Amino acid sequence: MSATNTSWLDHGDNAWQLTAGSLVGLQSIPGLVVLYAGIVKRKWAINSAFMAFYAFAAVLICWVVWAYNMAFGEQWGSAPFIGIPGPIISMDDELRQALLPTSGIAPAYPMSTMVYFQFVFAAITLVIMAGAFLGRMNFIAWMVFVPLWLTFSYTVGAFSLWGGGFLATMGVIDYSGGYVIHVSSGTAGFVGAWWIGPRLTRDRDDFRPNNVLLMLVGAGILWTGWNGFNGGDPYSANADAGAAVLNTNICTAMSVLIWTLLDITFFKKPAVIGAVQGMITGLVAITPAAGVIAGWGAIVMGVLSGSIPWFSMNIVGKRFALFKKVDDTLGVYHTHTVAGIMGGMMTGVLATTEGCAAFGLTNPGGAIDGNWKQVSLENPLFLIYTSSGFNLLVPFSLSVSIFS
Amino acid sequence: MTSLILCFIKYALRIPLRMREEDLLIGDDAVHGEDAYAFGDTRRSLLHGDTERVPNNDDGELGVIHAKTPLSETGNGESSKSYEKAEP
Repeated sequence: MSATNTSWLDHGDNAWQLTAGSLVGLQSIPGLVVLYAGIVKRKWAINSAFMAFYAFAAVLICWVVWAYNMAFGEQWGSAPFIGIPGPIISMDDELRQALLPTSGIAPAYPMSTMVYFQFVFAAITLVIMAGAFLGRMNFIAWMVFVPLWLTFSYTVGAFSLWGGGFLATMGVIDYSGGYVIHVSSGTAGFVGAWWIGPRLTRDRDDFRPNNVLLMLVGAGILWTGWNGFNGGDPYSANADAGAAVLNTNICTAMSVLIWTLLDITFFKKPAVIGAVQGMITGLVAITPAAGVIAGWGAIVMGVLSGSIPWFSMNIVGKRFALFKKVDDTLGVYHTHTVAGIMGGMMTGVLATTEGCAAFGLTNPGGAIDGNWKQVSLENPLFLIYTSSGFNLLVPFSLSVSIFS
Repeated sequence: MTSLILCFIKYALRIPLRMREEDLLIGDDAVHGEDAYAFGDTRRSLLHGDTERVPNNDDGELGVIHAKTPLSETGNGESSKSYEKAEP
């Protein structure tokens, strides 16, 4: 369709998609920017905020000049891993109808809306990863790292699952980026933290937040912004978008309650920083499932996301030498990798036939609807991602290390 | 892939992944020449270094704003900076 003939355009869909994209943008700037600024020690407030702020800007330029087409463009050669790099900045590129060529999806809004919507996800992936590097990374190294990681790692994951690559073809459900965004950023953050090395000992011993209220402002923007994160992924202002928004909030609220109850039970005090961690794990866990599971499924998901990452962070993280050696500043591995994998696997269990149909998938639901195959489908990913995360320790996984 | 990229930055481009130790001790002021807060009792701000808050009771509140001696003299900011550096 040409740019002048806009018979394909649906005003409602375009309005919602731009709104949803903007909400996700707000999650990074100022959401995570001020969350990081507040949660770190006073002397790292600017540096932490700036790492997030920089990543948002750098990702956009790389995105429109070459990376968007690597993630969502035409498949490169015969291997279904990556698209052909190239710019998407001509006037015709911006005005014509959106199309994901490999998977044949053609939403009722222009390409520019699609490119922006996918950009904010790519950006927040890098911003989340920064959370593992705070408090010691050389800013110049970060400036170089952002474009390289976007180009050689993010695009592969996005193409494989969303761009119509091999994982999508296999039938893996990743509703809104549980694997593409959270597992990959959490795992890459952990691996990167090992390479960069730990913070100063005295910073690790005493890393009291300099402004808990500012952190809460960021957390609130992050939570509500997730309405765009998950509500935008049907690519249309349809019924499933509403379901996704409600489920996202149900799961998150439950997760906050469970995390706080565990804090009270084990540490005798309800801590608001703990509640924010619970909020984040809830948001992450519901992400691969938001539009395909039912409201009660979201409650189940919230119970698990408030407890499993809690144990991972507070018990496993404090007992095992690996987690002491690798200084993942904000515990991104627990809040994103652990919660993301858990959410992905539970998607295989809790997905409903109606939800999948509303989202436009032909999968006959998950295990609760008798489709146990979906559980195992969500599983290979789990293995690929985790083994690639620990690729320094597990040599056999080097072959798949490309994924993170 | 993350490992490859970081090794490329470190060994091929010769860009250190970590800040220098002396920058790690100081933080924002050393890296960006900026501080997050324009007031406070541990470090003076470049912009508003001419004021400080003095507690007037022990209830934990920040207290009242007083005029402050210039940067060149031994003010609160100078002494706390050298204190930060001197810490082990």
